[in-house]
Parts: sequence; C-alpha cells; structure tokens
Amino acid sequence: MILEVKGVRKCFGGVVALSDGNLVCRLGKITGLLGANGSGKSTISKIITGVYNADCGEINYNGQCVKYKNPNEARLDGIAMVFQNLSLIPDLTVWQNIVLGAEQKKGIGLDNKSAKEISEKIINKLHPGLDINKKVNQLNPGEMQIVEIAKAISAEPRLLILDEPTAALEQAQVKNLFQYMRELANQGVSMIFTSHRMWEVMEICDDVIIFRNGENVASIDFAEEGKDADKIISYITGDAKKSECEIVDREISGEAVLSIKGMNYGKHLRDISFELKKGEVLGIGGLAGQGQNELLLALAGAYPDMKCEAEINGRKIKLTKPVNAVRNSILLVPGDRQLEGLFLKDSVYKNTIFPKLALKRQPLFIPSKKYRMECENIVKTLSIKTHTIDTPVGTLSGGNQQKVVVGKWLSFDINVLLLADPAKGVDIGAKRDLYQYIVDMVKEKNTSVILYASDCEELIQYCDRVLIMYEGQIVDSLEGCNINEDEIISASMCVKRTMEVG
Amino acid sequence: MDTMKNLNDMSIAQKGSLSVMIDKHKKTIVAFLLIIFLFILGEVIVSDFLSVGQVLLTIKLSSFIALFALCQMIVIAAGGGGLDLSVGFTATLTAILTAVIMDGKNENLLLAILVALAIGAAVGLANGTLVSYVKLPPLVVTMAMASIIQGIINVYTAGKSITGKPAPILQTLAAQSTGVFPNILFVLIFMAVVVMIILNKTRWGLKLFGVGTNETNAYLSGVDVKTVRMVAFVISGAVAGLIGLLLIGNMGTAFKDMGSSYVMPSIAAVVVGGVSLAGGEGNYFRVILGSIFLQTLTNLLVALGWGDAGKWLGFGIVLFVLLIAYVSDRRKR
Repeated sequence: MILEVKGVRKCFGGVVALSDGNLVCRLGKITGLLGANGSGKSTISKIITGVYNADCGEINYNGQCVKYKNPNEARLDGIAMVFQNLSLIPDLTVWQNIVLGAEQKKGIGLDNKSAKEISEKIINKLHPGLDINKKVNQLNPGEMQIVEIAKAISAEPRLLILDEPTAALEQAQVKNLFQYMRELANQGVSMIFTSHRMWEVMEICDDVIIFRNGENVASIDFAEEGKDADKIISYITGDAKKSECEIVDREISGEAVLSIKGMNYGKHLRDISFELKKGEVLGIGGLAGQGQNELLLALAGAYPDMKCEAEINGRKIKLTKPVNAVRNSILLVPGDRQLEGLFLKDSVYKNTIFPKLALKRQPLFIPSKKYRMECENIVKTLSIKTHTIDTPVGTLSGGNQQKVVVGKWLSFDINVLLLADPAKGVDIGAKRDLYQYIVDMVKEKNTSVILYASDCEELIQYCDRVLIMYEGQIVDSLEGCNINEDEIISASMCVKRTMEVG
Repeated sequence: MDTMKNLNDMSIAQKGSLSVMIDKHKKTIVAFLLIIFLFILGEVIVSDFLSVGQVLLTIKLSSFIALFALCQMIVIAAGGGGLDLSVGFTATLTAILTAVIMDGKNENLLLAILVALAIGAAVGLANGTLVSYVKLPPLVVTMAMASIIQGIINVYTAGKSITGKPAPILQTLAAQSTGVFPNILFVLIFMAVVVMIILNKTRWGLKLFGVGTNETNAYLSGVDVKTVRMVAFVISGAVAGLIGLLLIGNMGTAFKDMGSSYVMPSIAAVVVGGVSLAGGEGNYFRVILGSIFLQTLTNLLVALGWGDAGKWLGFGIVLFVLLIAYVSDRRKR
C-alpha cells in the first residue's frame, strides 16, 4: 500500500464537494476513479496533490501522514499529476516543457542534452514521431495532452495521478498511453486514473473506486470480483428511485419549428441533426463538457465557422451570426451569465433593452418611456427582486441576475428559447420561479425550448424528450418514461458502446 | 455606464439623498474642485492668475484639447483597448491641405469641409479596419498611422512654405470672441450637447457602450461588435479632420506640427475626466472639465516659469495619481 486517504472532506463555500473521501492505492497497481459529474473524483485527486487543502481527514503516503501545500511539494515527494486543463507554456518547445521546473544543471548552464534525451525517450513511447523540438503552440490538443503526460512521467514519480488524460486523445494514442502505463506499473509506479469513458477504466485498471455525491460508495477489485459493467453503473447512479412515470404525455402538435441537419463545429460538435417541435421542451443531457454549451452557442449563431443546414418554420436560415438568430427569435440564455449574458455594471433597464438594438426598423432615438414601462413589466412578471430598474445588475443575487438574462428576451416573440444550465448558481426559490415561468410560457404560448441542464432532475422534471451528447455527438434520444436518472446516466457514460467494444 | 453607480446604489439604503447626489457625481465634483484649487493656488503664488479674463482664456485654450478628447473618448468607450494616437496628425494634414483650398475665401469653405471630412474618415476607416478586422492592437495601428501621416505632411511641405489661409468664418469661430466669451466655447457647448444626446439617447450610443462593457454579451445579443468599433474610429477620424479646420482658423495659417502636441493631453483629459480606459463608459461633460484642468495646470506651470518641462512632468504626475485613485475605487467593488 502506497497511499491511503481517510475521511477527507472539502467544501467550496457552502457546497460540499467531497463529504467522506476514502481511497487506497497499492504498489504498482492502477486504480480507477469513477463517478458522475460533481461526485468528487477530481476533488480528491486535487487534494492528494495539494491543489486544494482538505477541510479534515488524513492522507498517508508511504506510511507517513502528509499534507502538501502545493503540487510542487507533492512532486518533490514523488507524486505527479496530469491536469485536465493544460499547464503547458505555448512558446517553449516540447522538450523544454517536459523538463520545466526540473532542469538539471551542468556547470553554469543547463544540461539540455540529457533533457532532450529523457524527453525523446518518453515521447517515443507515448507518441512516436512527435518532434520534440516543435513549439507547443504548433501542436494539436491531443499532442499537447501527451506532452502534459510526458511532463508528469519525466519527474519519475512513484505515484502518478491522471485526471481524465484521455479526453483529448485519439484511439491509437490511448492505446500507446495504456501500454506505457502498464509498463510503468510493472516497474512499481502506482497510478490513479480518472476517465468518463467506462470501457477505458475497465481495460486498464486493476481496481476501481466509485464516487457518488462526494462519497466513495464502492471499491471493486477486478482480480477478485471480475468486471461487471452493470454493477458499476448501478453504483454510479445509486439506488435510482425508479420513480413511476408520472409525466402525462403532452400533445405536441408535430410541426417542426427548428430543424438542424449536419451541424459541425471543429471537435466540439460533430454531425448533429435533430428536429424541435412546436411547444416541445427538448432536453440536452450528458456528462459535463461534451459539447452541450457549444451546441446552444452554435444555435445562437455564435460561431461563424460552424457548418449546418438550419430551417426555422420551413424557412432556410444561416446560423453563422448572432443577429440572424436573434432576428429569427432563436434566443439564448447563456451558461455563463456574467460573461455572456449581462452588463454587470449597468442597470436592469439597460440590460433588458439592449437586445432590441439588433432588430431592424428601430427608431433612431430610444423611446425610453415605452421601454421603461416594458422593463417594469418584465421585472413584475419574473418577480425580479431589485430596488428599482436603475439598480446595477451586478448588485443583484445570482437568481435575480439569471431572471434578468431571461427578461432580456421577454419582449420578443420567442420562437426557440435556448437555456444553457439556467439553474447553475441560482438559489432554490429563484430556480422554481424561473422554471415555473418557462413551463407556463410553453403551455400558454406554445413556445419551443431547448434546455441543457447539468442536473438530471431538471431534465427529468421538465423535458418531453432528452438528447444525450457524448464527445460532440448525439448518442441517444430518450422519450417519455425512459427519461429517468438511470437511463440518462447510462446513456451519458456510453455504456451501450462499452458493450460493443468490450 | 458608470463604475461608481454600483457603489452608490448599494448604499442608498444607508445614506441620505444629499450624500447620494454627491456620490453619484463624485468624479464631476472632484474635477471641479481640482480646477478651483489650481486657480486659487495660482492666485496665491502668482498674482493676477484668477481673473475673468484668465478663466476665459483658459477655457478657450482648453477647447482644442476637449475637442481632440472627444475623438479619444469615443474610441476608448468602444473598448478592446481602443486609443487613437493619430488624431493630432490627421488634423494637421487636413489643415495643411484645406488651407490651399480655402485660400482665405468663404465660398470655398464647403469644399474644404468636405475634403476635411473625407480625409479624416478615410484615416479612421483604415485605422478601424486594421483594428477590427485584421485584429491589430489599436495602440500600434494608430501610432503607425500617425507616422505615415507625419511622413505625408513632411513630403508635402518639403522645400516650400505652406500657402493658403483659412476662410474668415473659421477665423471668427475659432479665434474671435463675442463680448467676453470666445466663440470656440459655443462650438464646444454645441458639440457637447450633440454628443451627449447621441451617446445617451440613441441606439448607436447604447451599442457603443454595450460593446465596450461586455463584448461577448453584446455579440450574443446580435450586435455587430466589429462594425461598431470600426465606426468609432471613423467618427474619431472625421471629427479630427474637422478640428483641423478650427485649428487653422485659430492660427490663421497652417504649419507642420500644429496638431500633434494635442494627442497626449487628449488622452490625459479622458483620464482626468474619470472615464475608464477599459471602455464601456463616457461622459463628455467630465472630459471637458478634465481638459480645462489640464490647461489650467499648464498655465500655472508656465506662470511659474517651469515651461514645457514642467508641463509634461505635471501631466504625468496627475495622470498617475488619478489613475491610481480610480483603479483603487474599482478594486473596492
């Protein structure tokens, strides 16, 4: 046993990210961490390496109780971590990045020759043919991830933590990585591996620890208990309440409002096609960062390079400019409201009238009397808690800010409302108000809504149909009674595909 | 679009209405107090500094800084690190070229105005295109543009004297007075009113501030960020072209460096007026106060016999102090 973590707890503000984290790593073994979004698996990795400080609990490494203040301390002690978001320096070459922070001195200069040799050796195993004299900014994301991994390995750690290292890699690269990982394991290096691709965990790991809601709920030693995907899934989802299907199938008229064919945008969106019917609430689910935000932004016209055939009410439109989307009343409530949806230092009034500027046939002078009346109405309808409509939006609470973002679009005749995780960082009261308003709007005006929510419950409660995204593609479509936590999570983890591969 | 508003509204509950009023116009009051302080200081140190004649003369001289600062303010408000270092040079170029066209006759004025507008707008269009569409930093683009224009001026004036005279109307507007009031003051007041209406009451003003405050939000709301920024540069160039006409009207003749010395003060005036260089806001009234402050400071330093060196030193110190004060204000949020 090289590492033992006991009863670690971590809160961010009032949110508990990890309530009781326990973890054991054995010498020369690869331990997989599995769990849905926000289950605490990334948090515990970061606590081990000193990125975060635990609120309580203890970490035993090599029989000693340790508490690192930063990743560098951990690295000196033989624990290296491969980060999800890259920590490379773009203007340095591959080998310079690999030895960065651990340069060997030779006389008064640096020992560049041996540094290059070490880099060459590691890179050759991970990705033969990558020129180590290339600058990092010339590499593609997959190659950068490989350099990141090589950097961690070059420190010759005794414990290597890989936090979703495969997300940016291609199949062949993953294979090389796994071979190398196995080789290192045989040399006695222990590893912690997280990935959202279940089959990868099944393939490479010796044992897995499953996290749910900030606790580890199970650990399975593959050598003893065998690899059983269904069992793992049931641990990940928990004893999912098989809630009876209480949703009465609403009559949805059947005519398509928006139809998208062959939407492609770089690596983020691949060949996406779907139809949205009038009065339908279409959910977008899946693990975090599978392209859901990009999909909604693309529909709002934010990407000039995006390719797709789009029709609204049978009329062809181009979704390559936000103004086209706005004029066709495809309206976005973006995921990052402070950055993408509001002018924080400006008043509620200015925020609500701003989108009108994009419309055609607007008077030269702003009819402020009329607009102020409209704004007062919006504040009333959404029950936005604000002193006056001249109060800066930045001083409102998160929930009320979100209501203002929705309020911006209320004076439009909404065709399609795009909601990107609207309940994120919103208190329960405001969340309920907001969804109630949207549900009423769908009922009364037959508005169509596309809702991306990171929380399964919101999808289950409000959606008529849920599309599951995985690595930029739509992999599944759930309807009616199939919309439940179990189905959503297993579709999100691409279990069906696991079966095919395995 | 006022950074201060934020603090004020939060504290409405605790404070009386008078202090709210003071808070709301804090920067305006600061600018006013600074000007008064300088005049009193001048009166104490140098006799005969504070008189009606002196005040009006100061205002007249500061009008040109204020006009150039208008160009600056619009480009800065559009955000994205906007600045226009070419304004003074554009003005010089139009002054030199229109001097020949006008030749001291009023009937040629219309043509001169059109030429000035065309040159200014063309320079602005080039600046704006390079900044918005080629995505070069405004500082570098406008600095290079300033160099190019200076080069053109040098070639044009090489080896010959600049001929031509301003139209008499321009001289009346820029150099003469009605009673005790210099006419340029009325031009400035007219401009100020027009600018305030455009910025605060029209669609375009709102778009400009929106683009400066939060580019992403403005873009996603359907506003064409690039075009708005480009238009800001075009307006800056066109206004600079017109200022060239007023400059020659004031001086009576055109010369090589008549506009370039206004560039730095025009940026300083925006800062002294409390307009954030980060964009998204703009209050021309305060910028005018800032211009008057800088001119008063110059006068005082000249009166003290510190001359040009003192002027630049003074500008620099004032800029630092005010920037630190305003930035720390924002940090508190």
